[in-house]
Amino acid sequence: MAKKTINIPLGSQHISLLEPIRFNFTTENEKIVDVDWDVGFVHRGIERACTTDFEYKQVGYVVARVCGLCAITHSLAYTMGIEQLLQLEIPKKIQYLRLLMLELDRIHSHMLCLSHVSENAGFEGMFMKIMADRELVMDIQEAISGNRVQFDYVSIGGVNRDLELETEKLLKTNLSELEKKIDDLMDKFTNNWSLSLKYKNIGVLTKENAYIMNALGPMARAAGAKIDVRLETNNFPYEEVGYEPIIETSGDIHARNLVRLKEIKNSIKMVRNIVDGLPQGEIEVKAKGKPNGETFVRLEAPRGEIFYYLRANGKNILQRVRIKTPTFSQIPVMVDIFKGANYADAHAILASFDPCMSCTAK
Amino acid sequence: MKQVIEIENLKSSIKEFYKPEVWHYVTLNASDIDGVCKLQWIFTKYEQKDESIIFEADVEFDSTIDSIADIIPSAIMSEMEVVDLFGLKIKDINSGLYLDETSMKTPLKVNNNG
Repeated sequence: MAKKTINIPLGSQHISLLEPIRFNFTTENEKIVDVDWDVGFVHRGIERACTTDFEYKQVGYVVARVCGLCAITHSLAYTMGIEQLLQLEIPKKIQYLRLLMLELDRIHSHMLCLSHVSENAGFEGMFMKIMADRELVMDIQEAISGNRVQFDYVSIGGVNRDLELETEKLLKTNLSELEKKIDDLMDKFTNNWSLSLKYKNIGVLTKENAYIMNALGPMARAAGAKIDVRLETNNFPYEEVGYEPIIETSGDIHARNLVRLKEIKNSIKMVRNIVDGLPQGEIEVKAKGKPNGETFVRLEAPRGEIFYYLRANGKNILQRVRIKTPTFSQIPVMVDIFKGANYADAHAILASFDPCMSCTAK
Repeated sequence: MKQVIEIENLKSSIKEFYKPEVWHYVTLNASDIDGVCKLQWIFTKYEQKDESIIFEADVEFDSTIDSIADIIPSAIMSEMEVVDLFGLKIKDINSGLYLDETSMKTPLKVNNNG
């Protein structure tokens, strides 16, 4: 067959991904041989706003709006940075409540990704089922924080609400129900023959390339790389609440699906342990003074490492707020994975990256 | 741990130090401190608790510096960001990641009022 070179754009608006990102694939017959990309469609100038328009006490609520999916991670990373600059000790109860929300965020975000991966492999019914099941965790988050998406749960020195008894009951009931549904999904993603055709050996990232390209989050862990900020910081008592690193080795879409499903199970376990072992105490400590100096905070968001750098000089307005998000730094990894894949698989591969353009173009 | 470097030695310092399976490149961070561009290349060690190295250099905003994207491919993203948002020139790195022709130029420089 004669070799035919075709350029095929995917995005910036595309039915397979409701966020503005554009890949321009150069294909030889069906195979992708080169990839051009553009992620800068919606830059919102949030970093500038944080150092010009808002005082440091307000910025936590601004950065929560960087992303609707990992809002809690953004506001928490920022808040922890300010607390470091204020040399504020945070009691264990507050740490536990923050960790609870972080892991609930991971559950609903991973479920959103799994639903999109299903949809992009042609399984629309499964997309709807996972989205419906995801409501179980959204309801828990709403009961704890008062909001479904923009939680605004974290404040400097604490959290805004304690865990009520009624909420604890709802949490335990919903998580039990969710766990059964995740087991069912695990069975389908592992054993369904059609899904295997769509995911196994498709969109492969090797372990070696995961390190060379600086892969993060589930993408790295699905390639066999033990890369997880939860292993690398003492920000939270992860070992105490039952955190286990989830590693798969095949590096394909299937492996990324399994990592997310197993991480949901691990997050459910951690959330239960947090609630059962929740210490007594206040939900806020008073902050004194104004932030001074520089610091950085890393947290493991659902898509990988979130990084905040803060610099302050004892005034109400910070000198620098730097936000680095996982999708942003993984664009080169995505390009690497696309090369050599068939164009017909591009949509499912893209969905399996779980890209967040809202984070990327902050 | 912080290591102040001469900007001319950036590539050799990174090349000598960086091993992909040991060190995670977090980002290149830039800050405008009293009109000087403070650059920080931040690395953390895989599977080690809170272990990091920051290479730091102060440069003038009209300088041209080397790219390290040939050593660390993912560095291209943060380098493009610095070019766009601070106006620093980095060899072989184009502007236009976020900003287009009608956008505010170098929005993160302190004395930029739009």
